[in-house]
Amino acid sequence: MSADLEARIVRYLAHRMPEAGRVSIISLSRIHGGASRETFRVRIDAERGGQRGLIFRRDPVSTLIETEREVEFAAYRSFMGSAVPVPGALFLERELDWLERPFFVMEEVEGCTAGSILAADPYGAHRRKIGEQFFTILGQIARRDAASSDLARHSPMPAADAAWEAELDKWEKVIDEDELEPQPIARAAIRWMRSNPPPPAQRVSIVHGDYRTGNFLFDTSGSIRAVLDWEMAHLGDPLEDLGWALDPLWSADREHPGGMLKREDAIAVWERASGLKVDPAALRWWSMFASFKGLAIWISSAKEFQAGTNTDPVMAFSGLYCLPFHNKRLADMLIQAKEIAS
Amino acid sequence: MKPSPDLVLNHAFAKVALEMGPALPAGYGQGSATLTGVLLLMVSQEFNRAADIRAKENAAMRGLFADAASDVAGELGVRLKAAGGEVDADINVATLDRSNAALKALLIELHIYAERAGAGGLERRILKLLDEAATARQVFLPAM
Repeated sequence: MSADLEARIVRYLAHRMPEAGRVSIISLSRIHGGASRETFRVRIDAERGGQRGLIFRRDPVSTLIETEREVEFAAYRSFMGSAVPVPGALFLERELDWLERPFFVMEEVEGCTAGSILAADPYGAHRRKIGEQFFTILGQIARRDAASSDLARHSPMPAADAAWEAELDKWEKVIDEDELEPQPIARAAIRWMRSNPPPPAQRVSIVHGDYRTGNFLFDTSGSIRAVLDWEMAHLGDPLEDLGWALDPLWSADREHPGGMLKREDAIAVWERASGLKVDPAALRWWSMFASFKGLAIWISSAKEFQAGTNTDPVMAFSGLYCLPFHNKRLADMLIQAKEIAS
Repeated sequence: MKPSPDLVLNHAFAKVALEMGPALPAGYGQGSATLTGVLLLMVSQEFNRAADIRAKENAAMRGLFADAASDVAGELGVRLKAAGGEVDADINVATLDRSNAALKALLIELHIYAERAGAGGLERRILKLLDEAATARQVFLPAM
């Protein structure tokens, strides 16, 4: 890792943490993961306070919507000190002088790992324990009063009967702007979802936006220690997160969404934790939306890779594997929806 | 071409994802190397079938358009008839992709027409075609 980056981080920490005295870097490494931000693990030794781990999340070179980092930072802060485990969000930095691009700093949650969507059994003996926590935490996210959260200052509060449309509009626009070839399945899904809207949200809540295997950390005892990657957080229908978490892409084990619980068990855990009841028709809509939103993200990733603006292998993987996966899933759901209607 | 490209890519996957990647220190480099190996595996699957998938998809869409053209009035019917009679200039993947994109754009128009006209049979045939195409384009990965 470049000495220049180390020096820049030392300068920044001296500026933001003067109370720590002299700070030196013990180790600095980039973490592999989502391509929406460059993520660095930084272990520091401070004259006052000793050693600690920090995570730096820096904007990528290719452009993202300006407000996303503010949203992600606010989402973390919305749950600090709550039953939803998140790393401490320390500093949000918009000035370009420090690391050339905006970034934010979090506490590192140490001694943990994240599951992989390609793993046959990402949680092993802890599958059930982690699954129950995973869907309980998701229910707790849905329970959090959205209006009083930090996130409410950065994300519009939709009406209960308009949450679906705001999200559908947002992701349709992504496809309009980023598709490299016509997408007949996505277009058919859009038309179906607009013609068959879900019932109003039972509650407008904080929606994580990417709640799945790979985006949380667990320790060796099978305890979930941190929910990460809140960059798509917004206010909306909590069934959006449930539909996303249950999507079959998140595990090689199709019988257990995310490689955890059976679908019906997961829904029962979520209902208990959220205090909400799942309407099967509404969840069917949000499940289709989840695959549609995934498709939009993969279309966008494929465009970035094809254009050379982001050549991280994750972007190519998204286009080659995830995009056909969700196309097939949507085609299946459209056929099923037609059968139900006829 | 021997060794065959798909075999070369398969072995490259094993070398990069299963030997070189794990030998690197944990972190971004290891993750990227492993995933790059997986990309090689996916491209090896695509190598043999790419032209076949596209040629069959294009033929299926043209067949559908030729059948539907007589039932669709106006300018859309005329374009369906014309598209139904086209053939690909060659079987290079890039050529097939260009035809595929044009045919898919027309398929979207026809699908909207079928939905608005309440042409249930045509709609079901389109969905079946889309499902078969999506199935053929799936990439399969071993659990890792």
